[in-house]
Amino acid sequence: MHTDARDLPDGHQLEGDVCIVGAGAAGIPLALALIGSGLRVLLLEGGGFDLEGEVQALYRGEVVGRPYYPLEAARLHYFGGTTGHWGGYCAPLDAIDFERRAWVPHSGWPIGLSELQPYYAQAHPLLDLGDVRYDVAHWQRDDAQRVPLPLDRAVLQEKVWQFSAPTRFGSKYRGQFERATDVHLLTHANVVSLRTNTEATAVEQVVVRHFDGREQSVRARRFVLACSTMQNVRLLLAANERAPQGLGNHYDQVGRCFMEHLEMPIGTAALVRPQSMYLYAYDFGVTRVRAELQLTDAKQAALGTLNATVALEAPPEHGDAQSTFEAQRPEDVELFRRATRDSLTADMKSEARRYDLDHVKQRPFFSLIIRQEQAPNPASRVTLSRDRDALGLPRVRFDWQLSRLDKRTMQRTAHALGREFGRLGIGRVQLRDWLRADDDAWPAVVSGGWHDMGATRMHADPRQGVVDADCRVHGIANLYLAGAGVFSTAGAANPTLTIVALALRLADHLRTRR
Amino acid sequence: MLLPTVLPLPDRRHPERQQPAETRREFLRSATAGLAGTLVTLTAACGTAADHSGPAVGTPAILATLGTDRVVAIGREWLRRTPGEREPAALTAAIHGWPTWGPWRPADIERAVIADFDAGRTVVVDGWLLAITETRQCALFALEQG
Repeated sequence: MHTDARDLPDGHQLEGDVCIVGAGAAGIPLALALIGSGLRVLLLEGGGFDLEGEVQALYRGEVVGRPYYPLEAARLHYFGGTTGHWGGYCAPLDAIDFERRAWVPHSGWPIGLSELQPYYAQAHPLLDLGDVRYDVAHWQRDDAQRVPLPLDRAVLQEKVWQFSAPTRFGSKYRGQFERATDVHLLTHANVVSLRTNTEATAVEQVVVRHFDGREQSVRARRFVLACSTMQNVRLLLAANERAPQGLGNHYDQVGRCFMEHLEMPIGTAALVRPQSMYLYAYDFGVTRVRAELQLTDAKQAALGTLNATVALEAPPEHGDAQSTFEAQRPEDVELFRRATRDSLTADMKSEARRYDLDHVKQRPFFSLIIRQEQAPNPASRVTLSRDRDALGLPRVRFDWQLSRLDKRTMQRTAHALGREFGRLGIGRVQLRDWLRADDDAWPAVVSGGWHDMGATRMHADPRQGVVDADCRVHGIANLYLAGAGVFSTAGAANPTLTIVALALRLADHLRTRR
Repeated sequence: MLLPTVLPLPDRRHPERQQPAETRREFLRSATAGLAGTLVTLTAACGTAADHSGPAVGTPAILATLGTDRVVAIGREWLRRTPGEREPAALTAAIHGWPTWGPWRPADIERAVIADFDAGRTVVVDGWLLAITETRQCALFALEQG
């Protein structure tokens, strides 16, 4: 069932068992999984079924730390959320990502990979992914062209990615909600306030406000904030009527340890012998599986690095490879979203380039692009600005900060790759200028992947995190968070698959613990 | 499949790992190739027994991939950074590192390069992470190119 909340009268009150705020990569799978559960679910989405300027403008924020992409361009505020322009990269987190690593401050999840594995399997069909397999041997059996490099697997290994179409949740799942009788989707329902009991130990209702000033309220037994990471932080901190520091923020954890994936070119590889690179190649809209290179767990421990993968990309025809932020201007991102709005357009379904022996003989050079987790860093932080948006909610003030460990990881990973390529007779690696020394120097543009993670991290101890292992906000009996904000550490994998898996796990929790 | 540039050598430490018995045709082919290789080696040895800076040393294997311009740039950068190695003799001596009884062959150089990477004897020159041996080869090549 769907209602445009703008059609509801001022003061109208809705009531349900579960209220989910945000219909994006987390909120949609969560609500889908609750269809038929016997729970009355209210799914509130601030936008409509397509982008609208004044709604998207609610995401504007203040960037005060390291330069970052415009906040209103990175996250999408409409039904489907940022799946409206994501690229489709999927891989589960690695076992090491969940561990407490002595060389990574604030690392360690209160759950392990095995806890998420059944939910990764459930997430696959939602994202139109293939077999739940992430080993090269499996995909080589599927296509013999996928030949791995002759790596020393005590040092380097493949990290296998699968690619979603990319599935646009908004267009794919809208119909299911319109037909559902126990999930009520409300669009144009921007939540501006969480109201708690006197002790601020439980949320009683959320307030929806419209641009014309009308308000409605939603009461439920349990609430889930499934907005983007920054929006979840914003709602928690702004809910300061009865908890002056904001909800779940007794120990000043809300907003801290914001993490991105650093996605940047780190150099060039020159292959000294012909080797099919089909396994490592990627063509948008065509490639279903690819591998990138990754230091083994033991090597990460020995070098004291974070988790990272390195892609071998065909270099651009002209000039040097660019980072995500450099290559994707906001207007280009919007053009991409429109072009791929419902599904891939026919011209994108072209034939994959082969990257076979002959190709590599002719063009042995490949750009090296790193995807690297950012170390949890309490100084990398989201707080509230003094500015308010058109609905009166304080905007975010974003202070993105990197640490020496981030730079060291990039530098050591690049050097280890170069040394292994030389040692194994695979090729040689040329490093970007700023990676040649073990120092704090960064290039002018440090790029992320538009992945907002952390800031409401999962930890068993409320002094070190915002949610517990069930994604419930510490100290608030009926408030849960969904999305990449709960990631304790970011891992090297892009977040969407894990966001969906965690949402499905939360759905199980809500279904079984009434 | 990789195309090895160096034929596998007998493993003296592990004789059980020798190649399987050759067929007559394979034997004839390898014997012929071996004879030709011996003749080439003998010819080279007669002509340049005391000169270790022959084509194998002065022509880095990475030339085929990186091309002349990059290799010369690497070589010149190394010469600029290491004044003590600006003469061919100094570079050749540094490459060899120990006395030899004949000219180095490409296989010897390749082994030295791999040993450098294995032992961490690497340098970053013009951005390239290289074995010290091949870097000096680049320097020799740059000198030869003028």
